[in-house]
Amino acid sequence: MNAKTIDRIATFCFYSIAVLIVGILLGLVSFILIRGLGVIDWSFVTEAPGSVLTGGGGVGPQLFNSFYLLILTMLITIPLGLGGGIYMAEYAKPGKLTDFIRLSIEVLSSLPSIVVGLFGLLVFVQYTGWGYSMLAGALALTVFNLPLMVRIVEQSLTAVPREQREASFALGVTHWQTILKILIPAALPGIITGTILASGRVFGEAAALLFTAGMTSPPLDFTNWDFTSPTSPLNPFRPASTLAVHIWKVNAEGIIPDAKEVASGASALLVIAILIFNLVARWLGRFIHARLTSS
Amino acid sequence: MPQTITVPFPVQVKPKFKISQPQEKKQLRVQLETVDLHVYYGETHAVKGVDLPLYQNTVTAFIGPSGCGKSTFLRCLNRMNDTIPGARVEGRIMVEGIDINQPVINTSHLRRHIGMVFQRPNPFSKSIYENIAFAPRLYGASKKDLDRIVEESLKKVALWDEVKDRLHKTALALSGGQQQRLCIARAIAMNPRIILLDEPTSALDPISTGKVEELVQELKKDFTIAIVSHNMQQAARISDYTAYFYMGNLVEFGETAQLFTNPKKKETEDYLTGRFG
Repeated sequence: MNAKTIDRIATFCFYSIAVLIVGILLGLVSFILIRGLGVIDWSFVTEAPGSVLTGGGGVGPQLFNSFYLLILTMLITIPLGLGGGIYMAEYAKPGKLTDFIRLSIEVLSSLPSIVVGLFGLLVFVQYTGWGYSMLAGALALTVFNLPLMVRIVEQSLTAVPREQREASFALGVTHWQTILKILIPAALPGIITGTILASGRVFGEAAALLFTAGMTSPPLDFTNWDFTSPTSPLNPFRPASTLAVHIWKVNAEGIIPDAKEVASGASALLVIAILIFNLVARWLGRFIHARLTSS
Repeated sequence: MPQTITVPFPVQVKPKFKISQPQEKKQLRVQLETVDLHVYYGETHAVKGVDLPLYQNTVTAFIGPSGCGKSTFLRCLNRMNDTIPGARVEGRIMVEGIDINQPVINTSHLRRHIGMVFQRPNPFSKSIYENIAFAPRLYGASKKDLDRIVEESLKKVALWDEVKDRLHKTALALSGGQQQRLCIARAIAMNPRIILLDEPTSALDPISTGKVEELVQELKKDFTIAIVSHNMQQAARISDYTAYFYMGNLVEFGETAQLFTNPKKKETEDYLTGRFG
């Protein structure tokens, strides 16, 4: 076989793989949307679920919970991840300690999420005495998002060309100022991609939340902005089922007659929410990057 | 029968290029002086005991074949070798009576006074204005001062007219030569005493190179300049003093005119005439 034929075969293989991937994605998304879109209307998006016996209602609180939990998790994950990533990329000296930290991060990121959930149940739910709560869920999600975040911040920082670093040092700019004003802006696109990936895991995660944020949502009064009130949607110490958890619960143990419809609608809503979030986050990231680099 | 002319050997070294003539002798002040400077990269002994002065308001060129230690030596002078893991610099670097090669020296502070321009233009991915204003702002320059500093620095490197209408556009859209002049402007914006240039023209086309060379001549009125060059003609054209490095040793140091026309050492002559290197 000559080189040209081999080249054609290889090209064909790569194209097929690409088509396969896109095909699977399109098939999945269209399946979910076709089955779910019919269920989605304004009341499904905004209303609370109806009775556990007769069904009806919507998934409004669950949708809100998903976003609110995302914000809580990211409020904890982003500062910690940035700190850890900056330390690993800029300050950690190669050696036994650094290797050990890196190993720990890898182990942490490979923990099954159900194990993280059970750990969360022990520590964040029972030991702290908070009970099933959003904060416990956010902390459990932080546990398995943190390694991803640290890794991505570290890699984005080390990928900044050496010349940029040297240029800044040569001007008498200190290490910390160089990190803050030169390296982080340059690494921002990578950091934002990582944040989006981590956020996607928060949206989609169910196992780690079953035993931490809980499978129920109390009746919420969306006009109540008092953080401490149990009916306030903003109270981080209330239990909160997210969309993903709700889908799992309705499917697994729901006895309502419209379980199928609710699950399909909620799935479609989740996919759309993730899509919108990704697009907005990317656009925002590009905007910030452009502002910082004036490019 | 045509007369054959035999060339008498050894040939007098007659460089084909212009050599800058020594300045009128005036009292030269030593701006910086290294004493027995050694650099090690791990096991490699990269610079072996160099004693070299830089005189105020002159241009000193470091020449020599690749890997001779000239760039490594240059990077000692503003402690940039600190940023390379495994690099060790021993010996003294005297500036204003202080040995700056000590751990107690604040390197950020030092580098404000000893600026550096690199081989490849490395503007920040910020606007032209921000590239220059970045460091002075961190050291507390006001908005009004910054506008003045940016304009003056860009005028000094003859870039002002080319970029004044797009100061707030990204610097990465400039040509290579413009980027390098921007980097020089960025260095002089801090008003340093010494500017170190590490092969500043090796990534530039001949016209941009010419502009940078002119600029160096202009800048020595205000600054002391050390320039690493792998181009002998360039060193001859623009420097007042030349140091020839080989294998980590400083082989010869002297006035450029003297070193190029009448080198004291055989190795220098060999290198200059192209018999080696």
